[in-house]
Amino acid sequence: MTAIQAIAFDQPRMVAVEDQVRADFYALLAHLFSRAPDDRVLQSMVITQEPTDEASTELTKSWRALSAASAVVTHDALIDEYEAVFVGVGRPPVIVYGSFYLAGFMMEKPLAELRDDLARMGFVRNAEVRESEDHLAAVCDVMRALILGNLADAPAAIESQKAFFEKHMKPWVFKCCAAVQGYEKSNYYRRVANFAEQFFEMESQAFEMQC
Amino acid sequence: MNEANKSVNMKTETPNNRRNFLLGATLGTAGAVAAAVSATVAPVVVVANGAATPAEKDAKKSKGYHVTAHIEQYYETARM
Repeated sequence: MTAIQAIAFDQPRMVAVEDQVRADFYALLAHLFSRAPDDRVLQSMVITQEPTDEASTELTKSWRALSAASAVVTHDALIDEYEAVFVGVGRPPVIVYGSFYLAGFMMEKPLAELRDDLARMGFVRNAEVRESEDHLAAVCDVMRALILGNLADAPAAIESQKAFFEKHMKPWVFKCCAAVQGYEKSNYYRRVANFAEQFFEMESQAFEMQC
Repeated sequence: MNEANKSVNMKTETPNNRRNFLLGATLGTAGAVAAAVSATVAPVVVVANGAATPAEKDAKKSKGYHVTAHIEQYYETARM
């Protein structure tokens, strides 16, 4: 997915620690689902410290598994796996577009609704991007943008974050993660999807507490 | 659950509890590492808040047809 081009934030705003962590996770997932991570990214994902007893949540367990896999896999191998899982020949074996899970087909009404909401929130599509806005990487990156804000816009209120997550992610991302984990050629990405699933679950629970 | 208990539970579900939940869930390894990774990877934003893309900016600068060196060269080569 090399056509995706970043529009970086000019100046990060001060955000709460937990929100920065959430944004970092969304950024990481957006990256991992948009392309095969390179060796530098993989190296960054390798945990060097010993796990503590406190860190025993499902999220952390899934992270450890992903980290362990990151220590032994190579970028070249992941390019092949990414192609095998998300590109394929003809129809992608695993589809990572929300419209497919919500309407049964890609480029359907859910995508139109997502585009309407993005426009209403002031988002502008990058003309150089091939993938539609309902790609898993794209909606993760929208969440990152909502959490952090940018130079022109303050971070979105939790209510707005929740509304976007519950309308445009929650109804399908768990099915998508399950599809990735269930695909026979998914190895490293099985762990990525498991981590994503646990993270989305955490987000879902946290939103229930807030609002 | 009676109304009094409901009230107590609702009060406990404050933003602080949400914060504690998030911090607890990410405690240990994932948060710090994700931050390190996040700093090294480029965002894959397909959209950005109110920011025009370079292509859109170029489009706004366009003033319609105008002669360029490339066009002049074409006219030269096409002259009968």
